[in-house]
Amino acid sequence: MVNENNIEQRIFEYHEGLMDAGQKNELMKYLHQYPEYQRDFAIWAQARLYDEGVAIPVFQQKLIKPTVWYTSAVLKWSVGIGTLAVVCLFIARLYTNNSPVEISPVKMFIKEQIGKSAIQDKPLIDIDKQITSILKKKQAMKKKKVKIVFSSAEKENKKLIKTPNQVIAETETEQSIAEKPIVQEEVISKEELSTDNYNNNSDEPIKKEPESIEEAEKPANAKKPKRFKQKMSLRPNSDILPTSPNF
Amino acid sequence: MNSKDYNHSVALYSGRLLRFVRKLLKDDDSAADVSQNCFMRLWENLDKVEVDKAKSWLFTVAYRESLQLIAKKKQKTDLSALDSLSYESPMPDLKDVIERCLVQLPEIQRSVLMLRDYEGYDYIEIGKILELKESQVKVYLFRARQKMKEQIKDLNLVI
Repeated sequence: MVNENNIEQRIFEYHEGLMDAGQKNELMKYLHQYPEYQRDFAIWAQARLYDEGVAIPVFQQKLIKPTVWYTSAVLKWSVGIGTLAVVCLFIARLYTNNSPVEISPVKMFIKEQIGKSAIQDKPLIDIDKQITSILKKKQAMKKKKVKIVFSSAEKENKKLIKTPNQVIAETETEQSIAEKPIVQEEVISKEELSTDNYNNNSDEPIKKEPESIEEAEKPANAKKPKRFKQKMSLRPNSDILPTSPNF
Repeated sequence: MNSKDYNHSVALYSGRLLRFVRKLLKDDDSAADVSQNCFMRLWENLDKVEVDKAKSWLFTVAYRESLQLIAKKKQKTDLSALDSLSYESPMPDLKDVIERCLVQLPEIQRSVLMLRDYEGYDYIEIGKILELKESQVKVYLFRARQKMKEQIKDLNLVI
């Protein structure tokens, strides 16, 4: 309802465009009834700022930043190509990983021997590693077996097979035995007695290699009977010989 | 917002911003400094400011900086206002009366009036720029126009 208390506010709202058609008609009727407010209505229409245009400021050119023409296009293209390359590499990687692995007959044999069906599921590099490790293990096992066989056969070969030098040596010894008289006693010279084998304080004397298989088969703890010849001296025994100088 | 949008904003809004700040500060040099500073801050915040809101962002920053500058140079502005008031043309026309009235208005009413009449913002946008409610904007605008109407009415009486 328009009255003299809110007439200015209504005129303001009219010029601000805040009224609908009904409110505008009501205001026009009021102004028609009270013409003294028509002058105020006209002055309210003038109470506004008039845009007379804007001058270009002097500093406008200073504010404008230089734009590089290639930044947007080149960056977009480079980023696009890069992402495409990465995607292609990723797809290629996936394809190579999922492709069926060709296994050689040797590998298949090893696989059957081991019975590990999971090898095929793993990448090729893992299979190679496994196969190499398995081959190494088998070679090690073979080496061990060969050593064992060789060690057992060595004893028999020593008994049966003789090298030519050994045969010659044996013939020479047989001849010398036939020619020379048999010496029953073993004589240990002073040099042997004075050697470190008997004079040293070490608990384990140097072992001699067994000359025959029987000796080798003897237990290591079995002690050999040592026979020492009594030291001969040219000095006369005092118990037998008289000591008196008058004798 | 990129550098191209920034340059577009400079071309479109630098003159309007300078006019707004000049009428607030009543000092051409200070207005130019504030306007340039606003665009420098826009350049620094290119990633944060959207293209559509660049104009209102510029006016908001300009209004805040102008208020800070007015607070610092309050006495000077009062003196300049007095000088402008003391100046009277022998035959004032409507434009001079409006300009004189505009100088006499408080900063907030002046800002609302300029944003409304010069830039064509609605009440909501003015409220966002000046950090006011819509009803407050309406009240400030009503008071500003009322004062202008009184000045124009006196002019008509003189004539």
